[in-house]
Amino acid sequence: MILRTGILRGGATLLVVLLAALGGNGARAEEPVPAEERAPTEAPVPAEEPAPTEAPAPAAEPAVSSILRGRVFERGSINAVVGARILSEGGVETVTDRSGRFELHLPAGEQALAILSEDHDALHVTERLVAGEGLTVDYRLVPREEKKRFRSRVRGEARHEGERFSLRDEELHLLPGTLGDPFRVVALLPGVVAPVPLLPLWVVRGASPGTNGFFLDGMRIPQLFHFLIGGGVVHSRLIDRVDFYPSAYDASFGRFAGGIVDGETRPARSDGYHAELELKLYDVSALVEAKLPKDVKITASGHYGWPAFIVKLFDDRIDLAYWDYQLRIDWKGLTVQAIGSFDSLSFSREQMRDGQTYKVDDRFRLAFYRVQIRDRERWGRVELETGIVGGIDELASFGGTGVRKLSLAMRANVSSRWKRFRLLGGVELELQRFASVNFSPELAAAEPDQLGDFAGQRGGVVGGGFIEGVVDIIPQRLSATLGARVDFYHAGLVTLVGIDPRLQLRARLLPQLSVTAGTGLYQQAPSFPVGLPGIDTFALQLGLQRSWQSAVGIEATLPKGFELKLTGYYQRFSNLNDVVLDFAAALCTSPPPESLSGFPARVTRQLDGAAYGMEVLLRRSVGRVTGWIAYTLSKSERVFSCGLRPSDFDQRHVLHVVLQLRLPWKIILGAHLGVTTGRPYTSFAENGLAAVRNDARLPDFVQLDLRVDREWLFNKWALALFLEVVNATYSQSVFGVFTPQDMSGLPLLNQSELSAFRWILPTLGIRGRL
Amino acid sequence: MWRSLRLVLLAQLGLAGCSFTFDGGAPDFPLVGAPPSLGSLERFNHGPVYSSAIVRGNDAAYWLALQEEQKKLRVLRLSPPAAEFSLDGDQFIIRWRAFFVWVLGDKPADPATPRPATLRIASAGDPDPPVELDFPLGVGQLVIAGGEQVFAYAAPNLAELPEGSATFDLIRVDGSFRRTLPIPRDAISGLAGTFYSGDAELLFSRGPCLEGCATDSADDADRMGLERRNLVGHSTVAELDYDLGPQPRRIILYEPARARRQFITCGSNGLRVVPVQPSEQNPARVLDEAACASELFSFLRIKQPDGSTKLQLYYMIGRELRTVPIDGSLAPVRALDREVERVLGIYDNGLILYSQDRDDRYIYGVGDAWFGDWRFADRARLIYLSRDQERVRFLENSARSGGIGDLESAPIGGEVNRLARNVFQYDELADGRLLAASNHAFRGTQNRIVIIDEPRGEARWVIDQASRYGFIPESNDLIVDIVTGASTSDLVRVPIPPAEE
Repeated sequence: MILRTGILRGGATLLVVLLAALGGNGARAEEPVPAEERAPTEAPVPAEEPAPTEAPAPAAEPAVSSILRGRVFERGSINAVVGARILSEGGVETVTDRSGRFELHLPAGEQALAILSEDHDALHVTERLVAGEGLTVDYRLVPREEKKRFRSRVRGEARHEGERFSLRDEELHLLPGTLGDPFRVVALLPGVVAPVPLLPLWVVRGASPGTNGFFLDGMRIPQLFHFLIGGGVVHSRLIDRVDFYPSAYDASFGRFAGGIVDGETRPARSDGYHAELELKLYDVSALVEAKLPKDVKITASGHYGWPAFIVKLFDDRIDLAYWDYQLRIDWKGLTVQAIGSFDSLSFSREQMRDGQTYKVDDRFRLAFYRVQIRDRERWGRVELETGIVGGIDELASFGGTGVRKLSLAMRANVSSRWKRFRLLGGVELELQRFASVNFSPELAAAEPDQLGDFAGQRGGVVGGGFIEGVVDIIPQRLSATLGARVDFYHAGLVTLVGIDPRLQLRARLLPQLSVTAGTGLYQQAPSFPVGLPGIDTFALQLGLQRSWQSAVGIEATLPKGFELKLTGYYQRFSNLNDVVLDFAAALCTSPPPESLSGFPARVTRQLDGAAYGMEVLLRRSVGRVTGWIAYTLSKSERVFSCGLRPSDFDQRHVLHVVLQLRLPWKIILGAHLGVTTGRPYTSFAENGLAAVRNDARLPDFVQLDLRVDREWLFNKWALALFLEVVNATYSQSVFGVFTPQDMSGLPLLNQSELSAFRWILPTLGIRGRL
Repeated sequence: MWRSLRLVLLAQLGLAGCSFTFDGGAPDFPLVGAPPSLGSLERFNHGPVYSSAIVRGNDAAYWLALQEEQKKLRVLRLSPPAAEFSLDGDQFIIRWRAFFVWVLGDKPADPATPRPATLRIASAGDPDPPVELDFPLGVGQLVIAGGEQVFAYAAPNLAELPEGSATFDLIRVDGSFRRTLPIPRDAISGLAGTFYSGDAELLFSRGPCLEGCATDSADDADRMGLERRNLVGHSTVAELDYDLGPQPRRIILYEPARARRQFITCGSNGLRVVPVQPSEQNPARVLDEAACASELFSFLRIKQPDGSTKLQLYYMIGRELRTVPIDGSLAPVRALDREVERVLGIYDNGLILYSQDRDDRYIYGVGDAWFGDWRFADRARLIYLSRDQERVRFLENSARSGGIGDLESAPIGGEVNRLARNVFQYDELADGRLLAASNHAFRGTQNRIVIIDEPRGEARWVIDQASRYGFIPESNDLIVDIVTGASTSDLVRVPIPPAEE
C-alpha cells in the first residue's frame, strides 16, 4: 500500500484542516504522498499545449505560471475516475472529465494537492511546478474499503413487473457457497429448495423444477450451470444483474409455469481495454473487453474446466469436462452476442459385440449455442426492443442416442410511457427442428426408443404475445399492472393455445413500507422435469401445465441499511409435469401419462397439487457487513392416487444465513449457513408393502460454506486470491433410501439404509485483472 | 381509486385464463367395461411374491410354485382337488417337471474345506419322497436335461483343483446310471455350452482345444475356439462317447429318429449334415458347398408337385437366403429375390419376413421389418402373423428397456394401426382377439391387461394393476402378477372374458 505510507511534508497539516473544512464528499484526511511516489509521468509538456477539449474550465484563474495536466485512475485497474476533484492549497480546483483527465493552472513552486472522489480514499500529493513549464501526472486512487469492487449499473427501470429479488455487485460474485457464480446465488434466496445435493436443481415455491425459466439478455437458455461442481455457463464478470421472480410476475414472461431467473450481461466498459484471468484448481476462465473506434465495444469471455481429476478420486471410470464461451459486440443500440456451453460426463464400461469385449464410454453430453442480434431504440416516449436468436441445442444420453434441436426465434417488445400510464407489449415466435442423433459413434445406440417422444425427427412452432398496462392509480402510492398473454405450441398433429391473465399491485403505504401483490395464470407446454437442452415442444397431447400463482409481500426499509421483506404465497397446480424422486413407491403413486414411453414415462408424472408458504428476508446491502437471513416455511402437496400427500420434494423449513464482512487490507470474509429439513420418502413394512406415500423424511441437512477473498491493488492491475470451502462441516448429503437385495434378488427390507455420502469441496483460486 | 381498482379486477375476470388443445392424431382404442375387483379374485399367495412358475406335476396336473420366503417354496395345485406342499432349502431351481433344491450342510470348521450340500429333487403330484443326493464338494454347476430325468454336476471352484483332476458327473435322477467324466483342462467354463439330445440320452460338449485357442473370448472371433475343439456326445445310459471331430460354431441338432440323430453344421466348409452315428442309410453329406455363416436355420415342410412333401432347410449364405431339401436330393436355390440382413420368419403361405437391420443394431434383436417391398416397422420385435395369416402384429418402437413397444397391426401390405401403447407382452387368442399387457412403460400399478377386439375397435378390461400374465394350461384362466410393491406381487387367477356377441 505505497500510497498510504508516504512521508508527511510541510504544509500537510494545513491541508488536512483545509480539506476537512471542504468536506470533500466524506473524504477523510490522509497522509499525503510525495510527488516522487506518484505514478511515473511523461516528460514535462510546454505550457502552450492546448488543454483537452472536454476538460472543465478552472474554478479560478490565478496568476498563471505553470499548468498541471494529468489523469486520475482507480488503483489496480485502468479505470479512469470521472468527476474526481483536484484541489490545491491555494483554493484552485477542477474536476476530471469523462476520461479522467484534468488541467489545473497553478503558481510555480511546491503545490500541495488533494484528489478527492466519493468512492475512493483521498490522495494527497505535493507537486513541484516550474514556471513556464507544464507537468503531466497520473494519480491512482485507492477504492474505499466499503466500496463494492464490482459495480453494475441499472439501466433504466425494470422491464418486468412483479415480486422480484435483484442481485448485483459483490452479491453476484463473492458469496460463499456459490463458487463465485452469480446464478448459484438464487439457491440462497427464499422460496428456493435444491432437493438433490450438489445438483443445481431448483424447486421454486413448490413447483416442478422443469417449470423454471432461464433468460439471458432476453434469450431463453436451457441451463444455467455446468455439471456438478462446474460454475455457470456464462462468465461471472460478464453478468451485470440477476433478477429472480419466484412467482406472480407479469405477462412479459411466458411459456413457463414456475419461477424465472433473468440475467443481463453488460457491454464492454467505455474506458479502454480490460482483461481478467481466473485460475481455480479445476477451472480457468478469462474475460477481455475493449472499446474500439466508432463506439464499438467488444467483450469475449469463457471457461474451461477439467474437474475430472477430482471426480476420479471417487471413481476412475468417470470423466468430466466442460467449457463455455461468450462474445458480445455493442454498437449504439445494437448488440450481437454469441454464447455456447458444453458439458460431457462419461462412464467407461465394457460392451460385448460380435463375441468380443469393447471398452466404450457411456456419455452424457449437454451443449447449447446461441447467436443473438438485438436492437434497442427509443423514439420519444416509445421504446422498442427487437431480437433474433439462432440456436443449436444438443443432448446425448440413452446409450449414445441424443437429440439435436435447431431453432430460430424472433421477438419484439415495445413500451410507451405517459404520465400515469405505461403500455407494454410484445410478440415472439420460435421455429424448431428436432432430430435424434447418435453422438457416440463407438456405441451402437441400441436403445433409441428410450428417448420416447424425443425420438425421431419432428418440427415445432411456438410463439406468443402479451400486452399489459401499468397504471399509477395514485401517483407514487399505488400502481396496478394488468396484462395477459397468449401462447401457442404446435408439433406434429397437436396444437395447444393458452391464455394467461395476470395482475400485479404495488402500494407504498409509508415512505418505508410498501406492499406488493400479484396473481395470475401461468401455463406451459409439457416439459421434462429437469430443464435440458433440446428437450421441449414434445408430447403436446398431454395438454398445458397450469399454475395459478398468488403472492403478497410487505417490504420495509429499516434503519442501518436493513430491509425486511415478508411474503406469503399460494400456488395451485394442475396437469403439472412433476419429477419423480421416490421411485420406490409402487403404490400411491400416480401413473405416468399413458401416451409417454421410455425414459420420459419413467420420470414424468402429471399431477395436480398446491404449494403455499411464507418467506422472510432480512437483508443488508450497504456497509462493511452485508448479507441476509432468508427463511422459508412451505408446504408442497400433490394429489397422488391415494390422496393428497406431500410432494417428493416438499421441504418444510429452509434457512439461509449469508454474511459478508469487509475487513481492512481488501479482505472479504464470507459465510453461508444453510439448514434444510429433509425430503419425504416412502417407508416399507417388513412385508414389502408401503403404508402410505411419503410417510417419512430423510435427515435434515446443515451446510456451512466459507469464503475469504483478498485483493492486492497494483498500479494498473489487481490480483486477488480466494479460498472457498463448500460444505466445510463435511455434512452428509442424502439422496434417498436404498434397500439391498440378497443373492436371489429378494429385497432385504429390514436392512434399508440411507443412500448418502459425505463431501467437502475446497476451492483455491487466483484472479488477476486490469 | 376504488373505482379504478374495480375496473381492473373486472377486466381480470373477463380475461379468465383458459387453454385449448387441438389434436389431429388418431385416438386410442376406447377401453370399455370395468376391471374386476381384486378382492373378488382367487389369490394364491399369502405374502409378497418374489418369484413364481407354473410346473407340470407327475399327476399330469398343473401346479404353481411360489417363493414367498427366502428359504421356502410353496407349491399348490391349480386344478381340483386342491393340494399344497412346501419345500425347504437354500437355493431353488424350478424346472417344468421337477424342483432341484440345494440344502447346505453344516459349515465346516476349516474355512478351506468345502461346505457339503444335498440336492433334493422333487416333483409336484408325486407321492414318492424326494430323491436326495449328497455332494461333499458343495453347491455346484447343474446342467439339467429338458425332461429333468438326467443332470450333470460340476463341483464349484474347478480352477482350484489339481491340474487334470476336474470332472463332472452325469446322473440319472432315477438312480439307474451315473458316470464321471473329465473336464478338459482348458475347458471354456465348466459345463457352459453343453447340451442334451432331445431324449436326454446324450450330453454334447466340446473337448480340449486341438490348437491355438484363445483363452479370452475377446481375442477369439471363433468364440473360444469352438471350431478347434472336438464335439463329443456322452451317453447318459452307458459308458459310451461319440467323437464327431472338430465342428463349426454354428450347429443344430436334427433328430428325425434316434438312429438318425444328426447335426447340421454351418461353417467355412459349407452347410453339412453330420450324423452322430454315420451309416450307409445316414451318411455325412454336403448340402451347400458355399462357406456358411448363417445364424438362421429354419425348417419348413414344402409340398412338392407330386403331392409328396419335402423338409426344406432355409439358411443364409452371406446376405442371401437359400433353401435346400434336408435329404440333399436337390441343389440349393435362392429363396428370396433380394439380399437381406436377417430373415425373421418363413411362412407356409410363401411370405418371408425379413429385416435389413443386423440383430445387434438394437437391443433385443429389434429391427425394421419387411414383407417383400413393404416395410411396415422401424424398430419392432415380437412380429407375428395372425392365425389366418391375413394380418401382421408387432411391438413397434421397442428398442428400449424391457423391449416394451406399441402394439400395432396391419393387413399384409396395408395401413398400420396402433392398438395399444407400451405393451409388454401379447398373444392372439383362439377367437382372434388379442390379449395384451399394456400401459407398461415400466412395472407399476398403472399396468393393465386388456383384450383387444380389433374388428370392433375397442379394448376391454381384463384386470387392472397387473404387470404380466401367463396362461394356465388346459383352462380358460390366466394367472397374473398384481403389482403390490416396488418388487413384490400378488398372484391371482383371472378368467379370460368371453368374446362379445
